[in-house]
Amino acid sequence: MTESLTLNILSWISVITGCFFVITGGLGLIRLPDVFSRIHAAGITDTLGAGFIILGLMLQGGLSFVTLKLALVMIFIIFTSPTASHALANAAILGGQRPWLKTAKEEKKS
Amino acid sequence: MIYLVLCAALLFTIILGLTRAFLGPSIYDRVLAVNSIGTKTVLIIAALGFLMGRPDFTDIALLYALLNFIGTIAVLKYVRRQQGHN
Amino acid sequence: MLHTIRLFIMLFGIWLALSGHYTPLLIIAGGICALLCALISIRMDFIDQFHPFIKISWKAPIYWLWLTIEIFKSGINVSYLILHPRMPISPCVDKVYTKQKTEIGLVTYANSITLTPGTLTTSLKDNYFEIHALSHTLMEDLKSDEMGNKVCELEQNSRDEL
Repeated sequence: MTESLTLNILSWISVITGCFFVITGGLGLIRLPDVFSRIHAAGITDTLGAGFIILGLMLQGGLSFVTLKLALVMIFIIFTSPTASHALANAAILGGQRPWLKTAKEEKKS
Repeated sequence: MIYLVLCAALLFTIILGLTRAFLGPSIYDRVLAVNSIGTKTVLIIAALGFLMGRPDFTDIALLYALLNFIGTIAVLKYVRRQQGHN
Repeated sequence: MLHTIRLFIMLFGIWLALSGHYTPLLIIAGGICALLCALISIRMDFIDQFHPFIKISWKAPIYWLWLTIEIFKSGINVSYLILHPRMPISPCVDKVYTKQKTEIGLVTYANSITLTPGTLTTSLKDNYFEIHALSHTLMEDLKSDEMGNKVCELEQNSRDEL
């Protein structure tokens, strides 16, 4: 009984941490100034957010087929997310987008 | 309970992503927003499977994770061809 | 031929692991599907390039563990940058020179860089990557070349075992 309680608490902690990172990524998607920095925000949701949420769900699932499938989902996300980010950044560069860099004037102001 | 909290957080983030998809000045912002929404959809499908007591939903999540990636690459390829880079 | 058989065994194993129903009909259906995929991939002519992917060095799990910790650390860093009311970001673009010799090593390095929040590979050149980073500290972390050295070690190791 205590064992399942511990697992429950651990999965709560993990899911809440994942939610925090997912929402942070979403806010970054809105707040950051240009495409390239927004890709970083999306990267947070893809790695840390998804990782913690899936870890929490795996703790709920226990030893079963569901856990195996969730692990596979995580592996797919980890392998495809950097490829998609890189393709996006490369296409943006070729498409004439330039990264937003802090100008000297703004540097002085802050 | 835990799944409801998770679904609420994911739906909130999907709204943020949709805002970016509407606002996004360039096409790349929109593609990025759609890709990011796709990742969250995968997570929401997995969470819904637990919420409704039908863990078979994880199969669909698995499939959607792959489709999301292929969709992003296909759109980017199309955009690049439009601009004349092979 | 050996690769095709290996691919078939891998695909059939995945089918058995994921299906969860073990009636004769479904097992035979899975066998036919795996066989068709293996046969089609001969025509697609990519098995030979896929070959080194299967050889993974025994040091890889240690590297992945280190990478996870690294992702966590820089994730916290980037979250702070995003959530701070004034957003103290200082985006910069720079070159990072690479010492890896094989394609697999280069791909591993580029993917590790992109997977770490805050740094992003924007294009691959002959002997350097162009990196976009969200702040100068993250860029300096990358330039200290700790990750590059680890990938080189991993590459060296998997080549010795080949």
